[in-house]
Amino acid sequence: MLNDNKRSRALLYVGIVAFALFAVVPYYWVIRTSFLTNIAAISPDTGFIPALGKLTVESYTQIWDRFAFVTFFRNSVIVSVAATVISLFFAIPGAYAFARLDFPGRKALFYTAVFTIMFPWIVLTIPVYEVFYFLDLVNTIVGVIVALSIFVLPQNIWLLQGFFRQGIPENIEEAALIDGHNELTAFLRIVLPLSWPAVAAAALFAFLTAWNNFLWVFVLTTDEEVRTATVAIYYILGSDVLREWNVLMASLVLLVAPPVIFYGLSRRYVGEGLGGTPG
Amino acid sequence: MAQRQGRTREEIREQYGLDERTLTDRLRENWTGYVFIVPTFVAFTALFYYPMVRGIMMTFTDTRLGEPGQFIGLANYQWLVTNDLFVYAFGWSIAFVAGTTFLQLVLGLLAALLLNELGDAAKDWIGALIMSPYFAAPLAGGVIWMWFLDNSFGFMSKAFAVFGADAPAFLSTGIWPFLSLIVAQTWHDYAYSAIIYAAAIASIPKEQYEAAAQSGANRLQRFRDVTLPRLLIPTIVILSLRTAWNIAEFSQPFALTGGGPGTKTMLLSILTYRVAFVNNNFARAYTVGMAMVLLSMTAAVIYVKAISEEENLYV
Repeated sequence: MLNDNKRSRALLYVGIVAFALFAVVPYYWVIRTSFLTNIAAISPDTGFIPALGKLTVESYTQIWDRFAFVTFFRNSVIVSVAATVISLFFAIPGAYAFARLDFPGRKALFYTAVFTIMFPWIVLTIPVYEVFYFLDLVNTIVGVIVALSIFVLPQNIWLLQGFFRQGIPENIEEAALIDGHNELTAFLRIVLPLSWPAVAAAALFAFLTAWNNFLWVFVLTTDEEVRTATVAIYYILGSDVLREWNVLMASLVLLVAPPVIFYGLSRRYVGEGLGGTPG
Repeated sequence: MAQRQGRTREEIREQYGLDERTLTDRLRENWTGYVFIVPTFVAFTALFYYPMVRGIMMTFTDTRLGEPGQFIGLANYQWLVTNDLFVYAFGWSIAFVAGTTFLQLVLGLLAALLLNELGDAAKDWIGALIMSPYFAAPLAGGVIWMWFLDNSFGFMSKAFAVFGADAPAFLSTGIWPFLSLIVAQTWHDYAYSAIIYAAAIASIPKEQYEAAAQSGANRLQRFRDVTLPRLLIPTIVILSLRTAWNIAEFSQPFALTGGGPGTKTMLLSILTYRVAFVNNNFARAYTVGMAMVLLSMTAAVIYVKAISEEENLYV
């Protein structure tokens, strides 16, 4: 910034490169394996950067006939989309109430919402599993959707209430109220149409969180038909039958690429808003 | 707001502080708030509040899956504190959380400071690259690191071979599995603190730096006097949130070592899972979980205190 000199510039670039390597090299190793044949992937003769002739997309074509990956990825998409829609339906009015409306109990509710974000989910799976067991929702796609919707709900409320608080000037609603709207219609006709970028961003993150989720799907399902891609990769890893690393790594690339690419593209627009994404 | 005509006696008295609004008044005035919050409240009750309470009650019984269980008092807690594996996992979890949270904080701050020095376009693309691990599924992170550290085919063993050395068994022997878990977890989540810090740094007005530079402060002094004070609240926020999330972390360590070899790297989250869904002993599992809840709720209290300080900035 101010009074730059050559040495501090060099130091800066060294630091940036070190970070970039730390972030990317583990990915690189997976991508490298996914583009090799199974033999080349485990051969000690293959270099850090394999010769161009050795690269192949064979593993990517094999994924589809080797496992039920069509089912797994389809399930991933179905449950993620459904969880996104359902959680937004709950989160939009909830976030608006937290950000703008004043009612007795608002603070208490808000802080319990904060606590739910920080609650260890693995502990919560136990009583929830019990409930789902009695309701016969274990091992069903509906059960997974319900669990994931609730799982992404606090994060959605978090993102949206920040937007309602800061992104919509209060006098917009005041003007609407003077024009004869009540709070409900002012929200539906005036505030909501103005909020679609924030809602879209929240939807994107809800989708990705649901897509990435392992714990709930893993705990709540055992059958292959309702398995999502994330959980499927864990099972393939655990099975001794498969030591086709290139195929496994190719499916891992397909699993990881959508969230990372979506984020890379949307970063400029949503930037810092994602404070409440539970890991 | 313009003065309305025809106000009631109560409203006038209230304006001059002669009457206070009662709870029923506020309820009547703000009923729309409840209309908006009801769906959220119902969802939270069904899948947060009820299960939490149910779970705590469960710890005083011998509930297993599908069996209601009998009241057995504090026997589960007694079992807990006398269980060697739990005590071991508790200690290792604290070490794991302390190590990862600290590293995530430091690396995140460094990343944010370095990125801040870059031009806008470079900041965007390099930022996306550096932050990318955070957006991979945690389970995938575990698999990625397992492959990266693999003894026979991993990057690390190959890199060691270049120097003619034998790579240690990163996931099994000595202190290595502990370090591997901490480094892998740091890799996945340091971007979170980088994002929060970057936002805080970006909100510092440029004039303050210029003023400090004019009065002769060098780079280090500017950092100490201008940047550092603005990073206090973000630091508390990151510390408490990441502490809670590192305690809760399940997927990545589960995929990387699964608590093994044996029970060497057993974390509380993995232990909870094992007791609940491998042994089907729900009551005891929730009792193990209570230790995690206790740790994360401590972090949560600190967090709530921090955000109420500067609610509008970070909420």
